Amino acid sequence: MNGRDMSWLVRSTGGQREKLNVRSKQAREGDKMKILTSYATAIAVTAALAMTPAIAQGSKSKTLDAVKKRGVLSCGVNTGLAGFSMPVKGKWAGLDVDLCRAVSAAIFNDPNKIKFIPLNAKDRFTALQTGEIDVLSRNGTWTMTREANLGLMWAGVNYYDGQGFMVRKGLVTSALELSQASICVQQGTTTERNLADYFRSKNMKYEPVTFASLNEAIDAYKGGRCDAYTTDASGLYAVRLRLPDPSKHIVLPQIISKEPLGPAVRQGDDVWLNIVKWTHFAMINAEELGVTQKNIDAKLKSKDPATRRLVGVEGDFGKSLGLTKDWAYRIIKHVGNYGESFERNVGMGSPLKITRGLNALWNHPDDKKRGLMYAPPIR
Amino acid sequence: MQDKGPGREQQHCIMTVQDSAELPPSGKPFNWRGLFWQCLLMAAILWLGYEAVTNARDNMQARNIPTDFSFWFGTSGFDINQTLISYSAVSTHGRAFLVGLTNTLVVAAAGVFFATIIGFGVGIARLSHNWIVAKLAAAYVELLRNTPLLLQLLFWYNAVLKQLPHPRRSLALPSASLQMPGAATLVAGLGAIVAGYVLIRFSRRDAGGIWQLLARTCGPLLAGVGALMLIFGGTLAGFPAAAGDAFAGMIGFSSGQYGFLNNRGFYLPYPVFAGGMNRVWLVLALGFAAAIIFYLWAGRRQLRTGQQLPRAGIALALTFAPAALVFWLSGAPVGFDLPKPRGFNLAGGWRIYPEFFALLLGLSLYTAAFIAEIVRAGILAVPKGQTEAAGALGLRRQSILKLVVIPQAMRVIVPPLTNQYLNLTKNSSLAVFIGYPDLVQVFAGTVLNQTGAAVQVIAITMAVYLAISLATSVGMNLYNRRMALVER
Repeated sequence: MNGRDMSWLVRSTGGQREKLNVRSKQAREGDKMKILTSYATAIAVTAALAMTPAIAQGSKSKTLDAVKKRGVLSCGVNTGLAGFSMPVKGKWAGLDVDLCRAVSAAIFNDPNKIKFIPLNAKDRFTALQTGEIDVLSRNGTWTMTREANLGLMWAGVNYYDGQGFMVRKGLVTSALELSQASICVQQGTTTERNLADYFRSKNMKYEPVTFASLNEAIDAYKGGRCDAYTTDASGLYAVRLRLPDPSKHIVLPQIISKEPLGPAVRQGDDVWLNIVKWTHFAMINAEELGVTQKNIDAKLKSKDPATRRLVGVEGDFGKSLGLTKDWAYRIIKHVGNYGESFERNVGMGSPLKITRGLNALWNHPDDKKRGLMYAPPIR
Repeated sequence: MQDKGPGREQQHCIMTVQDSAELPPSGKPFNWRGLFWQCLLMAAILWLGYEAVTNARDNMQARNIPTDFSFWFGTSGFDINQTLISYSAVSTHGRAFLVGLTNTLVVAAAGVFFATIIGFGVGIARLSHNWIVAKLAAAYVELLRNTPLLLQLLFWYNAVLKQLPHPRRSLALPSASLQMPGAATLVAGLGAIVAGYVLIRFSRRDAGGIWQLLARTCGPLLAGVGALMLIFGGTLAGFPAAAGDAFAGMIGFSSGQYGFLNNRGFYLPYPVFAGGMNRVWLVLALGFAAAIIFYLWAGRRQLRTGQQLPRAGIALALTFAPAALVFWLSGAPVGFDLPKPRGFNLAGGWRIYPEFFALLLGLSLYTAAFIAEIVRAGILAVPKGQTEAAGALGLRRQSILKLVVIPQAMRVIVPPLTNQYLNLTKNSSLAVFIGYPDLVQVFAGTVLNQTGAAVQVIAITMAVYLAISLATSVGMNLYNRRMALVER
């Protein structure tokens, strides 16, 4: 045969094609229903996605509500700066830590309902901005840029400090002799900028060696990679303790900047800002009025109006903050007043032995020992 | 219907085609449902993207976090110690970005270069017939591949480079100068080199046995010792020999301190070129062009006629010999800026920072371990028949490797090699932990923290790394395409 007999193929495909076209009426109706239902589900799903429910916030302080709901206060602290925030035998201690404990005591009547999140200088503000922490109590300097540009607010100053230098004993006696030196500094801090400003104003050159974390900066100074280490003066004393032979290092006398250290919170939650601010002020007012951790129970029976308002016997100042009447009582009972906290952490009762200096009360009886700690009255 | 011949068949086909004129050739209706779902998905993705951007922007504005790029032009206010371009505390954040970028590119390029060389060397060494060499290479690869890169970087920085002495007690490197070797050194050195060469040639001809083993190990050893004697002369044995002495080598050391090594860096003399160098650069450029032309011509000649010339050696000589001649004739118009102790550190000279060196070392050695394995895989992927055939043609082991195996192995090597280059570039961001001011440390670290513009800064940093990686992979793909097998 010349060609193949393909007629069977034509017949079969033709037949098949006819079969495909011929479906029962019910089947075709079913198909239409399937198509319609799939379109309907598509539209319904899109509509549901589009209607993203907006959670309405009706309460006064979003942060306070979140903290109460969570049951713990999320507090951003340093990775390990003696005197300010450092884990000691597994428990966090320090001046900044005490402030967090005071806030926790005011809210929960328990100074330990805190989740401590250690942060590097680089990440601390991002953590606060994004809501990972509620309050940043990490020896942070209050500057205009940080309040204007980062969306944060400082709730006061709990330590007036300044930047200084630490060098090995015998190297130099003044910061003015540090021309051409290598200086270790932690990255992302006001320290870096102050250093640049100082050397520029004195027309000296230097080599900055910047590290992301405190530990590496200290290691580099210890290893001799740099001649000097610079940070806030309080930090210098704290870091010196960590060195193998503290007596071989000295802190130079020059203080080259103003560093008002204090706790920071996010903008947009004024009530929370007030809570943190007035916690700090309560501690200062308590020291002014002579109320301490030991005598606060006795002070409940005091006749002095200012003391009565402080401990909550008169007035209800905590209510508008979302706290209880005895908010300040809780703070002083669990943590103590500012003076006690200072002495315990950075003062004479601690290895750092820093004097009150600028951090003394404004009305210290001795003229020469007056400082800048001044709190608005609780009334 | 019965078969009535082709004509009837075709008629049948035409009829059936005409029957189906109202349906498209596939026989199915147009896929409207599929199109609908695709449009819906596209709309959903676009909507999600739009929502993400506007949500972020609104929330940032509500918190007074900057949403624009004006921080780029703000004053930085901080200093950086290693910069390839001029920078100071009054420069802008944009300039700081450039400093970080150039630092990253430098360390990535240098890292890629060294990692490739070391990796190829170790990979080939691992396939060596010499048991010790192969095992050493294997140990290197296993050790460096299986430990985290960060630990290695910290090791190099803390355990090695920090242990160097303080600047006040720097290790001084003696200065070296070229001189004519003394008579005794010449005789002994040249004699040893010739003897070693003869042994190597002798070992290739004989069948085997203990004498051949001895010859194969002693030959290179003797040649090496001879070369060392020729170069260093009497200083090898411990007594410095001045120029003109019988025992002087080609390189003489004097007591001047021209280089220093301490824990703040490696200080070398920095060449300062006088005006007379212009002629030298011109001759160098011309020599380089001539070398390239020669290299290509010699390659074509080899393909055409099969005659070989030592291409690489002649090209190198063409590049440098005329320039060196002009240099000497012009009276060597170059001065050196020497590092001198001043104050706390050393001033002057060319300084290689320990941070840069630690990063380069760590990155190169780590990536070289991976590249070694890739190279080994590529070489093993070439069929053994190729090696045997090349051997049957009478080629030596080195020639087989160079002319037959490696060119074919490159096809297998290049794609994973691209991966390792990209890894190296991105791993350079670990510089943050040892204080090297690369892009992440300067821009995504300091600038981010000082300005608070987190989203913008991170987006720019990611875009930059993406651009660098894409450029690298495009370049490597072009090279790969040239190497690819043209299949039918």
